[in-house]
Amino acid sequence: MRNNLIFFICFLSIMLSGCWDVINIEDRGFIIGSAIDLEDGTDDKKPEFKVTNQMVIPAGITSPTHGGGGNQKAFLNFTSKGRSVYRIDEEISALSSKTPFYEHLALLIISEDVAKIEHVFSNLLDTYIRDVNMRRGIKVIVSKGDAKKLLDFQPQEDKLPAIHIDQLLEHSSKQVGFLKPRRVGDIEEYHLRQVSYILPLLSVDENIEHKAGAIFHGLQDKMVGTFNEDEMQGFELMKTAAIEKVIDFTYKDHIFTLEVNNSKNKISVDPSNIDEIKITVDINIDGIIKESFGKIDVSNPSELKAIQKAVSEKVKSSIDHTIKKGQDELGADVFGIWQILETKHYDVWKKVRNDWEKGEYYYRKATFEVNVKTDIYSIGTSDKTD
Amino acid sequence: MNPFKYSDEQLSQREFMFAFPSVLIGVAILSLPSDVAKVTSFSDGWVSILLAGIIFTLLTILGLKLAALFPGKSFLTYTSFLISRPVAITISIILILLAIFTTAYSLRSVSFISQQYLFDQTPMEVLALAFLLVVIYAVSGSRAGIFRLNVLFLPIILLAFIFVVFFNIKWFEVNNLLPLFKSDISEYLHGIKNTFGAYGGFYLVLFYFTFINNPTKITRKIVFGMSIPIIFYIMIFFACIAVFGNAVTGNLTFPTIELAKRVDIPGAVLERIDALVFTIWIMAIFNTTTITLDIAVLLLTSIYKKVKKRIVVFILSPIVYYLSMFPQQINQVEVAGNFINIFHIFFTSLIIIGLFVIAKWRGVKNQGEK
Repeated sequence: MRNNLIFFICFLSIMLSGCWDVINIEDRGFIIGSAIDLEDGTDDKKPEFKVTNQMVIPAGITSPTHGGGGNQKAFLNFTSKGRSVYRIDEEISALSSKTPFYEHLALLIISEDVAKIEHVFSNLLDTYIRDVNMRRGIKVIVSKGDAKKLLDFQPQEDKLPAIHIDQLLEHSSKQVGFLKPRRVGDIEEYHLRQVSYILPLLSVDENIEHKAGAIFHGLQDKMVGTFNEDEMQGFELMKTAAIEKVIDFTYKDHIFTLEVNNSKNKISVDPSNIDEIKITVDINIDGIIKESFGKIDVSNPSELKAIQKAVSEKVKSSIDHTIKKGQDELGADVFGIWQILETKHYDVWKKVRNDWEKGEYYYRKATFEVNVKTDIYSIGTSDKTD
Repeated sequence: MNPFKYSDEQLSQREFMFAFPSVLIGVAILSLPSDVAKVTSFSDGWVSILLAGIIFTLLTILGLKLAALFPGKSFLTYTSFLISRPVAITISIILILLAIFTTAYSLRSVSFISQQYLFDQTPMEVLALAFLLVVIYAVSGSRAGIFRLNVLFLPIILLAFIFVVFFNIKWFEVNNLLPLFKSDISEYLHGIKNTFGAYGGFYLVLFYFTFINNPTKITRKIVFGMSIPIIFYIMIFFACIAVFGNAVTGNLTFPTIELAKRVDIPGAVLERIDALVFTIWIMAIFNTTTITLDIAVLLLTSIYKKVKKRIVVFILSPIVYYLSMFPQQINQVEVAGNFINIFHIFFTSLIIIGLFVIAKWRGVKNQGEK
């Protein structure tokens, strides 16, 4: 009995001492966004970075029902500089009274300047992939100009800039068919397979502009160019089944607006001649005319047909332009033609994969054919508006 | 704290059947998709997992047939009968050593991985000790109790991982699975070799058959028991490939953990289920570790019949603890672990086949009917 009691007391002294790793939630500083900039005046060989981490201040988020503290900012940005991200993060933790906690990191912003230096982006990302506390679902974007500016931008509707951008990306891809957000895990895959890809390119002015894209070349391992808003629209029409997309076009010198209700796209590849791989893009668009600035009777069948043709031509020219830029100017297969070759024509792919985006450059030799068909099934509630 | 005594120390057929998935599903489940994806193309690795599973199911059945020739006799008794006592004791000692090493490897793995992901401040020695103490408590108690714990834990383990796969469906990309069947034979074979670690433990059939209370018509149950881990592995493998693609899966250390971390369920409560999956995974390791340690204890007590079981456990556990903390770097653990696993599997397979051939050659009839 006495033995049991002694044992029990020993046992309690171990158990009651509690958890070794305990950090109270009040002591954790939740980092929700990170921005990486290039330090001014460093050379490309040994770049030095400026990392900004956005930490949440919980007091600023809760609505001030009890009065006072209403104007408190909900976030705090810490910036520090150095050569490695991990090192900088350690330094940042010394700046704050809280222990930084990265598991809820939602957004990583890389500035254009960093992305344009060869191999730097993939090396930077390594920290975010390797660390067990970081998740593969972190969204990655590129900023035009300073990345820090995006984290400093206080939006009207949200309290936290990083969460605002996160929601913006999520919302626009779901509602408007804009580029799906790319995550750290996706990018690791692109890097491992050395394929080209697009990341959203954001810039901040009065609002956050997020419709452009940054093109990364897989083999060169750096950002090689950008797609502007129009080119991105061509890209999205070609690649993604847009849910709600708006196309402006002109017909008989009048501007029309078509809302895409449904669009189907199919890319097929005919690799019988590897020196001239034929790629056919078929797109079917169903839409509604939303706006017309002109006295044209859209209910007239022949007019409607001509309008449909005008839409098709507009879409085709925009896609052609995007393909031309991607293929000739940038030489990056962001359209995922490699994946179609790999999944459907594996034998051909094995032959061309080493010379796809370099050397023989079969990708540049490929020809694209774009066919667009448009159906306007509703013209709104009136024929003519004056 | 006296161990609870069960009224019967016998196993039912179902308890025996569920021991297989419980023991097989262990440390290897975390890295299996990566080990297989590394050497096969696209989603072809499932063929390797399936083939390896069939091979080990056949070996298990062979072991079962062998043990069934000597009902009610322990492993040492019937091997002594077949190949003389000194040789049988030598084999038993090798098996004891292997079981000790395997237990140490599991112990080190579980403490290393939980330190990496859950408790980064707690020393690994403390984690290992805490885990080992629970294992010792289980092993020094009733043998049937361990098997009943297996039956209790297994559904929880399976459900947790099915849950993870289910909530990853939204990340699935079918393109990642295609094209099919592009690996060549040597790649498949390499894949089979890399799954060996995930099937270690099937040899428990040799040692525990004698405890089954009614060992008739058990083959079908064994096949069923072995098919659970096979299907389970293939499911996890496909989920990893569909979510991450072959290249990334091969590059990740523990793709299964990443899969769990990828889940994000809206609403704050279950937003991070990886901690939960970890806890349940530790239960799986607990099953594996208790049975492997118990094999060592069982063989030792059959050699030294006079020594009490609890004494044997208390002698073995410090050895296991010391061995598990012996390697300094995780690379050394991996190298040692691989070597032990492969050697263990080849050795036990060889024993099963060898003993079975000898038994047939000597024309041993069912000893139970004498």
